[in-house]
Amino acid sequence: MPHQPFKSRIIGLGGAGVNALQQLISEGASAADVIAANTDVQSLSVSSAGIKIQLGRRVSRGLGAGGDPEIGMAAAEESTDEIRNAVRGCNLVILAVGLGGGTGSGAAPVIARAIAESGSYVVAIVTMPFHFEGRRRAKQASDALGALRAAAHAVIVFENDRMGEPLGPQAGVQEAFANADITISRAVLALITIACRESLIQLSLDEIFKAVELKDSRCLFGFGLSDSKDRALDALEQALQNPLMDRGLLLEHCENLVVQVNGGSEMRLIEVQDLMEALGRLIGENTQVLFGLGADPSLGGCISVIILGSVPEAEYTRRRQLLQQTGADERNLRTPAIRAQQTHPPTSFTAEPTPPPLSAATPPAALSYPKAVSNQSRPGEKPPTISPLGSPQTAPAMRRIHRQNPLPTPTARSQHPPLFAENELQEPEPHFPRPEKEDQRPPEEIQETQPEAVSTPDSQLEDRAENNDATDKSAGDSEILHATQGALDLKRSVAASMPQPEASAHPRAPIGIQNTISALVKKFSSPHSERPKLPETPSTSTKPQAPEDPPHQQQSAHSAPEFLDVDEEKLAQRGAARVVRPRSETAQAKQEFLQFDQGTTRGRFEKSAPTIIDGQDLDIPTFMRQNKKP
Amino acid sequence: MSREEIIVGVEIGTSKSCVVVGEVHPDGRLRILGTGEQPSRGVRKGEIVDADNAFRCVSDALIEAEERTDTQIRYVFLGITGSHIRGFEHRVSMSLDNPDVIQQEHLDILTQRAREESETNDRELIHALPMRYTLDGEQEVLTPVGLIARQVEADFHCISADRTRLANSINCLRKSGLDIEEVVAPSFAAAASATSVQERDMGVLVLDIGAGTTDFIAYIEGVPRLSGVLAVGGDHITNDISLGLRLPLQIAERLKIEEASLDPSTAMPGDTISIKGDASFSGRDVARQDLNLIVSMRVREIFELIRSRLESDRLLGFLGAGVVICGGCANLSGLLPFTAELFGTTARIGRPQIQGIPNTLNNPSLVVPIGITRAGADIILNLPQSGPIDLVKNFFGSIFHKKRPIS
Repeated sequence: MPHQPFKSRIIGLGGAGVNALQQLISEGASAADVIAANTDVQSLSVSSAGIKIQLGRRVSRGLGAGGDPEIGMAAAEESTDEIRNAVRGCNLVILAVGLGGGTGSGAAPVIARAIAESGSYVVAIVTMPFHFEGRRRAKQASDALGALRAAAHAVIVFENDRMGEPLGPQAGVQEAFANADITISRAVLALITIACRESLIQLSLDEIFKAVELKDSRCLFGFGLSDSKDRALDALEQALQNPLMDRGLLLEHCENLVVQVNGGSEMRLIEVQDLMEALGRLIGENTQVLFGLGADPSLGGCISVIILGSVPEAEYTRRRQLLQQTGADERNLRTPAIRAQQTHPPTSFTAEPTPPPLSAATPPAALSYPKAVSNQSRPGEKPPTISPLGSPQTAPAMRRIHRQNPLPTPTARSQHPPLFAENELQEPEPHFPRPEKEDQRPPEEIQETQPEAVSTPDSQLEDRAENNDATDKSAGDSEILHATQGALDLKRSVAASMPQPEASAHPRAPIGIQNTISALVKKFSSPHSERPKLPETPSTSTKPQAPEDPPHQQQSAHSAPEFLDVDEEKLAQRGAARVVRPRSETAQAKQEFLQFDQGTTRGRFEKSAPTIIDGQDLDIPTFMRQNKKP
Repeated sequence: MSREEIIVGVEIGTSKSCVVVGEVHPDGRLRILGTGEQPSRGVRKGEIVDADNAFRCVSDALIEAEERTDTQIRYVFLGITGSHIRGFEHRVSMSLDNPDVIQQEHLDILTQRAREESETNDRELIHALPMRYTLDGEQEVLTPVGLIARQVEADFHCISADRTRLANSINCLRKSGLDIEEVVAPSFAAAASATSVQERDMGVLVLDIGAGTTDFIAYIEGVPRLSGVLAVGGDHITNDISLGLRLPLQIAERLKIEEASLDPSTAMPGDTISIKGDASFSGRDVARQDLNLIVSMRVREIFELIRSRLESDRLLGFLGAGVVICGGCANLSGLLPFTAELFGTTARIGRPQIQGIPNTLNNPSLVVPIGITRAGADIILNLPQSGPIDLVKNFFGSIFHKKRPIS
């Protein structure tokens, strides 16, 4: 091997971390390399990790930290030596933590620091709590994240709220959770794969670290696996759809980007070439691509793509703000069609490549254009490592996205504000003047105006101000903005003071509710959850609404002073109004609960790894799966 | 081996840990001296999830066995199960420089090669069972020793286990200061103790339906052709009853053993079973048909999974001796006709086929631990004696053999 013998360990910390390990082990991580560490003995006893460490025997007496990071911290300090011994001699230690609770938030920074001091490289993979889990947990989580960023070498953040996204809103709740777990465990496995496995083109450890090393940065992570006819590009597309990838739109801001392509013996050079060229179109001029290529017989006919990089926090925040301002719901944003010939330089997200007409379906293999064509189309744009040699059509890509995200059907979309891509498709009537106008302004200008719009409500909510994490803050801001807009919509539709065709029958509203439900259900099932309660802060259910209606947004921006005198009580009232309004949605919510209840009753096997054969979890009673209830 | 030797088989099962102490005579006869049995804790679906508790139970069983048989156990043969156990076929070949008489050591090299080729960083081979040998690419023989050929190919039925999970089980026993002589797959052990050579020649499917797993192995023409483990067993049946009829697990377990039947004719519509209440459960009546439906759906599913494996390997029509069922669930009422119908062949309950076995041990749930002892005895009997050939054998052994292959 080109580098020294490599040893890595994975630590699952706290209830969520220990649970994530379980998924990891079932995904094929060897149990010997994983360490479960928790204050709660019960959670440890069901883990099949090779090494189990009870944190804070004296502090918590095996009872868990009770949501108090102080206890978690004290427990971790008590058991630091034990942890250090367990990872002695490891080059890489991956810490999987769910932030927000007691053990995770309190112990993670302490343990990360201890391990880092003993000379190992520490990567923390954390999940942030759901928005509805309340401000206290959000605050604990963001505090812990800040401390963890200072302690660990790299932090990869997954936001629970965004985990269900790649599946689309109609996906089963169970599927969504499984997907979230799988995403995390793949992130861990991918890191280890890149670092440990021998490859044809080997990435060294320091290269990988270079890509994620930036302090104060957001980690981008994407994983894709495909065995279809067009597997290379499919895998890339999947990777870009990962919740942490931001649809690949932030890639251009990466300084260093690690791309690892693995394939079985059938992997062809041309596939790798195509893939890297497609990726090359998405990245910026200054991005340095660190490319690894591995042959892994166990993949068979599949090709897997792992993308890892980091963007400066500021860039990420800026993009978030742009999104809010121009009224694009993130869920609506599409992955830039990777098979497209790019017509605009990707200076900002508004310059997304044009999606092709949906009907144009041509196998991409037949579409390889000579280099000159795409070079002409993008003068001055040349990815640093690969020369563009693209296929100019993106039809398959777009079709696939539509299949995965069934909501924006043609009729539904006609009620929506156009996506940017569709803007460029020349929708005949410019009935959303504001975003288009903004599109033409340089991003800096947009950024300048943005803080005013959001800072007003922000100043009313003292808690937000305490958030030291910039991203959290901006996310929180956006939600407040959405909330006020949602309330405004409601008010208007009731008073009929303004024509409001979409306020009552908003096609996307149920998604928000479903997200909330899935979030709630996950909370109930999450081991470190507090007593379930209704969202006290503006919930995700309103989030998708406001940005969809640029006219509203314009309005709300104008009428922002109206809300200057808004107090907590009014906010609560608005919250109540929101809950009452969507009758049909609550009915749907109930149904979703029932389905969930039936699908996952595993009884005594609730806590053991599932026995999946032919895609069925055999731990669930046969009669339930075959729908023959006695 | 000049005199009797003590062989101990240990199975750390999901419901019970069982130790069987046997005595093997130089002529191959195995006499069971006694057993130790303790309910298991910390084992789920055949795999250890709580090492301390599992260790405590198995050491209790070992002590019990030692006391009952008045022996001191130093080394054991260990049965390993769990969803990580996989059976597969593997072909290896070797060429001889000149046409030469094939000797046992050639076969040992082939076995070793099979082991090396099929083991990876995370998989360890437990068994490499020879299926057939092909000489010079055309002639298929059962035992090539003494025949002349240029090239020998061997097809093995290999059973492999996940290295770390295997280590977990082994460590559990090592803690008590015991040596693990060899690891045995329960399906192989079950076939060794519950079926005769004739049955294996005719073709037989052996099912060991335990609490946590269902281990299966199919022998056709005397050689194993298909084996595997489903991590589904009697606990799942109990769980289904408990969830379907909303009963506590203990009551569900009792219903499964005492009342459930796979024979549809035993329950008329309207038949009920009244369950007495106790401190934690207020009594209730449940419909017998519901109970039977829940149980039969689960058992049918398990069997259909195994049948589809047989079908896809085109082995279903070759089970001349039918299906032999052992393990705790073999006592389910109405299981035999149900099995016979599903597999389209005969079915019988498997019991340890050991001469002079006491009645108390003639129990399908002891088939596997006794089979482990039987397999262990066979290994001990095949140990190299001192002689010129064995010297060579030992030489190869010292080079290659980390573990003696079982064949």
